[in-house]
Amino acid sequence: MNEVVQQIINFLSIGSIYALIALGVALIFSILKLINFAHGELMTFAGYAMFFFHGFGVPWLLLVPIAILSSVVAAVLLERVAYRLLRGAQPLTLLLTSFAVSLILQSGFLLAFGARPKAIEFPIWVDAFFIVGDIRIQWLDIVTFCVTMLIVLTLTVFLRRSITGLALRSAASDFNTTKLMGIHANRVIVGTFVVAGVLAGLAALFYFASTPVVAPKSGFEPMLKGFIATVIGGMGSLVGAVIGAFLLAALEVFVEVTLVGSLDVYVDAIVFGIAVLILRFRPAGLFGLRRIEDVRA
Amino acid sequence: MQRLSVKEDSSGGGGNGGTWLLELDGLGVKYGPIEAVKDFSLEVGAGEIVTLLGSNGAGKSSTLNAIVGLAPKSGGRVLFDGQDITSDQTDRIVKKGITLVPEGRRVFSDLTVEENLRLGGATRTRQDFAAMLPEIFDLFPVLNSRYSALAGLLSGGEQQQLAIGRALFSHPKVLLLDEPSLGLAPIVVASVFDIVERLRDRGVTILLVEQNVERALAIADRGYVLASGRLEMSGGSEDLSAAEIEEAYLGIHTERPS
Repeated sequence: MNEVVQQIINFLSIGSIYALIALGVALIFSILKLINFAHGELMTFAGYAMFFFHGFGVPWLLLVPIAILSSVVAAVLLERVAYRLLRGAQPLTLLLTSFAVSLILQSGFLLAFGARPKAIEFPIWVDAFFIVGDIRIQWLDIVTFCVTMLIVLTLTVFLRRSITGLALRSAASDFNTTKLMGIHANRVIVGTFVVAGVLAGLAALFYFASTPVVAPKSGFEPMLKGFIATVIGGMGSLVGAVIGAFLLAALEVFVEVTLVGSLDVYVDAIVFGIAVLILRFRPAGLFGLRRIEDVRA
Repeated sequence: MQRLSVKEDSSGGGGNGGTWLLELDGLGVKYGPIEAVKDFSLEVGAGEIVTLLGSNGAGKSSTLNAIVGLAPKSGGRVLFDGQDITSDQTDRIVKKGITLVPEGRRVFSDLTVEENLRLGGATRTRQDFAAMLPEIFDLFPVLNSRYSALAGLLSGGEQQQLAIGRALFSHPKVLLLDEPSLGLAPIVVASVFDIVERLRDRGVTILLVEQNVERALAIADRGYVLASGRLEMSGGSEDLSAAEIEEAYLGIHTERPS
């Protein structure tokens, strides 16, 4: 029983991190039809920012906004330098570009910080926990989950109530008609990247708090998970992204718990295998309603 | 702010001394190597309804899209109130007072009627939106009754009213309408033309693209006919014969009792 509760908490925490990543990926995809593989590098960027500024003795109260801000700045730069030139290009071109951007950023991190992982020294209170019955619950997991839910709620209200949010949604379905509303197209796109940057920054905070080392390729694995979550949920559906993320986390925790000893290196293989099976029967994802485009055409 | 009901102070009709509200001067539109519109000049005076006619692919929609900066211009100028807006971006053109209700209505179907209308007023304040809403409800009562419905669930005629209502929230001086009656049931078509006339009575200047030649000429002050991207004829709508235009340029042969 205790084991189950422990794993549920584990699942909620992992699912939250995946959800934050998946939301960022889904948001950019829904508006620009761009699968931004460099989203993971936005997280790495925040990781190095924490490492770098911590080295100068900047207190954690400031490091949190710095980490988020650095992801936002990186996201906006990414749009300006790489993606803006490719507005309206084929989805496949965009996808390849994002791979290229991702690799370039990884190489940049390698040049700037070297290949060896850098430890980020989180303050002790990150490990704080409390005990209920026999269960040890880490505050970080609770905070991760609550902040994620708060973000999902805020994002929902933002997308439903604010004009900018409405413009993001209308731009996702019809860009030209959105311009006819007198809305500046660049502002919508930059706004999308700002929101995606905030999401990546928050995800990085929680991710690195549980895995406190940053290396040039740090962002790849969480990005992959977040991406798979959006695919399972249905590309472009924000609700789907969140549900896909928690589903992926549940699968992962379940497989991890049920596999005995030496088999746990296969967790990813099994989880991704199940994801492939889901897509075999629901090619558009669980919540994707749009028809699938054949990229070979 | 300027309200819909404030009528532009002008003599109306054509030829008001060279001060047109909207003027195309030798406009060209090119998509890659394909020339959709060639050297097309057109004028719209304040308070007029001007109609732009022609067959499919004649360049009517391209002309409207080029005016609001959504189609690439290859030459010529667009003047609004004497000011050159040829190279302005769409959002600036809309803020200056020209907007387009695009072909196929293009309501945001997964947004509600309310959200669609609020986007129409994106350039305005919330107070302005609230002040304008009763006026729009008065023009289009159906938008009131279906205010929280998803736009995609409205009928074609209702969507057309939503698209026009949405455009009005930007307080346009000139409203470009691209085939507003396309795909609508005959009884709804009549109400769309009725709406266009009521808008004009409220001081909105209208450039109307239509395939329904007879009805368009019936409400328009003047008309232009495009064929293969070139101006073929123009004149006061009473001088243009619907039957002739349809036969010569639209390939429609109708038996009419004379």
